[in-house]
Amino acid sequence: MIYPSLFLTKMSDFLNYNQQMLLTLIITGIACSILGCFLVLNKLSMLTDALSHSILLGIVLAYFVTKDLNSPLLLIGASIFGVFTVYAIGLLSKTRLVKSDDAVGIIFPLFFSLAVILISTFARNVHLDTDIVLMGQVIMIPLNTMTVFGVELPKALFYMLIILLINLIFVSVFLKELKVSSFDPEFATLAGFSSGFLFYALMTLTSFTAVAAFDAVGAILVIALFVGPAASAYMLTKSLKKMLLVSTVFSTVNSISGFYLAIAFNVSISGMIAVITGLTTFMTVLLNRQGIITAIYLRHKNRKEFRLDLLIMHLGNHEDQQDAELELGFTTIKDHLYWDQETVERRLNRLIDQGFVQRNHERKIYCLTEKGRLRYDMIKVDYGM
Amino acid sequence: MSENIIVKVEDLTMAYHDKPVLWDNDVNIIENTRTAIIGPNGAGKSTLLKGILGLQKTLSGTVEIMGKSVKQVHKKIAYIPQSNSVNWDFPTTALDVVLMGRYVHLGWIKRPGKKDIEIAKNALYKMGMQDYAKRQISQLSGGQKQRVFIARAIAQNAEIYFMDEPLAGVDKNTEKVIIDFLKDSQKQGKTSIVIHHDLNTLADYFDYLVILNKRIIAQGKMSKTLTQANLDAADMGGGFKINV
Repeated sequence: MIYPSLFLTKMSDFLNYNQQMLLTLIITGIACSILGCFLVLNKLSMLTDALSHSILLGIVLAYFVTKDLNSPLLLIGASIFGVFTVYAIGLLSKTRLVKSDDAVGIIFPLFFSLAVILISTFARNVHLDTDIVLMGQVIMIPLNTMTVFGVELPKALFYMLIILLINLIFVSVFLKELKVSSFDPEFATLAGFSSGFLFYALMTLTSFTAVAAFDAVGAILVIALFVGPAASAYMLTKSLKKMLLVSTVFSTVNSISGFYLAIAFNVSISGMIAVITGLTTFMTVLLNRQGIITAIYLRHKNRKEFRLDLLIMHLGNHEDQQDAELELGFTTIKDHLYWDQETVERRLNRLIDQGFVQRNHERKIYCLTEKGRLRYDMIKVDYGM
Repeated sequence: MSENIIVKVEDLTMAYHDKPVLWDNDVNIIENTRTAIIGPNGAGKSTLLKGILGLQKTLSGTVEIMGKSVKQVHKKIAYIPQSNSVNWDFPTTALDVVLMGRYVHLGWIKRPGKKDIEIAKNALYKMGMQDYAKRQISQLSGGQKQRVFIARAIAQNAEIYFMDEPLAGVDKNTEKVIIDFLKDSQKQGKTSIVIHHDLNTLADYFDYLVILNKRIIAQGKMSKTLTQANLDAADMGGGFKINV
């Protein structure tokens, strides 16, 4: 369909509803994961949980002022309230009467439940549903549109694009400062980089992102988007830039696969993406460099190598001894290692292939090559002999 | 040599919760010395350093460094924290950590340039760590981590080094590298203030001494300050005898 006006383009002309939803989800995911990297590095993940729940109270309060669910003031009001929550948690834990984890657990259920009570008492007729708050309404994204510079596009997509842009600018401008204050806050303070400013800037953006993402994907998925991809990238990368990049890859893969699986099984889209995010993070826990499965594999490999080292030691120790014919003989070596003939031959053949061992047919024994003797000396040093 | 006071602390009192950790302390650090701070566990050694550097709140007292406030001279101060105070799993390399020493001079937003990288590489070289520049910091040993921290201070090109137990848990080789660095720095006119825990090496490694146990017990030249009476007064005498 060609739209009558030359200046008005509809996004739905070139992207179908599914594609619009998916695009919004991917952009939301990237906007969340780049901030998420710094939240994870600063061990602030649980603060995101608190923030994403308590902004509901911000939304309700801002609604009472604006009386309009579509007002951008709602977004700003709710975001400021999110920052206030972080501040309140900080204030409560500074009294040292409660620990900071406890402060999180006191403040956010208080704000969240206040919001639920307010909605159910005063805003019953308003389209503000507690279920939607938790799970979001991905399916509604393409229906709620707005027109910007002659382009009609989903409102959620537009807001998330703006937020993504702001987050990208923030992270690239302050990369150096964010890095030093997350790694060594005391050094950063002495170097003149106020960690307070960076902390509240990060929290303000997190709050804005959570509020904007909330509408589309809900409070639970928002936490998954912030923490999951960043935590996975943290386990796999050795530089901050790579961590940021890998987290966006994780986030995009999670969004795409979660979206299509949800459609295939006809289940909640945000729920499925959160499940996939959990799964990919869990897989990373198992498979990363220090992961459980990797550790088992490495242990197995080390054990194999240890046996070969043992064999080289045995050869090196007995080569120049009187009993070499017995200890190292083609048919007798097995009795001295207490291995069966087949195992001994397999291991010796591997060492012969690697050039450490040769057969001495004259004396009918196995002995070390030049290379093997070097390895023998190294093993003695390695094992402290 | 005239004795210029480079760090002047007056009436410093600090508390943790409601418990005072440091009581009304006056400390004078002399310029161009290697000054050790010793004291029993819980004497407030780290707290004193943090108080001087403004990293922890003080209840009373004033601190002057080179006659000015810490904020005014922060570029000339390098702080080397206990190496377990940071997250060594952070995704970054040894060179990158050393480069942070240059951030002090760059200020906000500006990125380190080629010259800064050159300086950082040189600092790593001075610590014998040039081969580890691209190594992720989690893969460094305890001694190597400490060397990276000191390389960061070298890259900063500071005048005063504040070090919190730099020799704790490091290998013999690193210990020598660090002490050589302190002696070298002194030749270049710099001042080091180091929390130390080994009484056996104290007199070899340092030339000035501050003995602390919540209050200053004694301070001054090593030869005059390191006495059995002073150690006993700080509850540190047990089992250790000074051989003079």
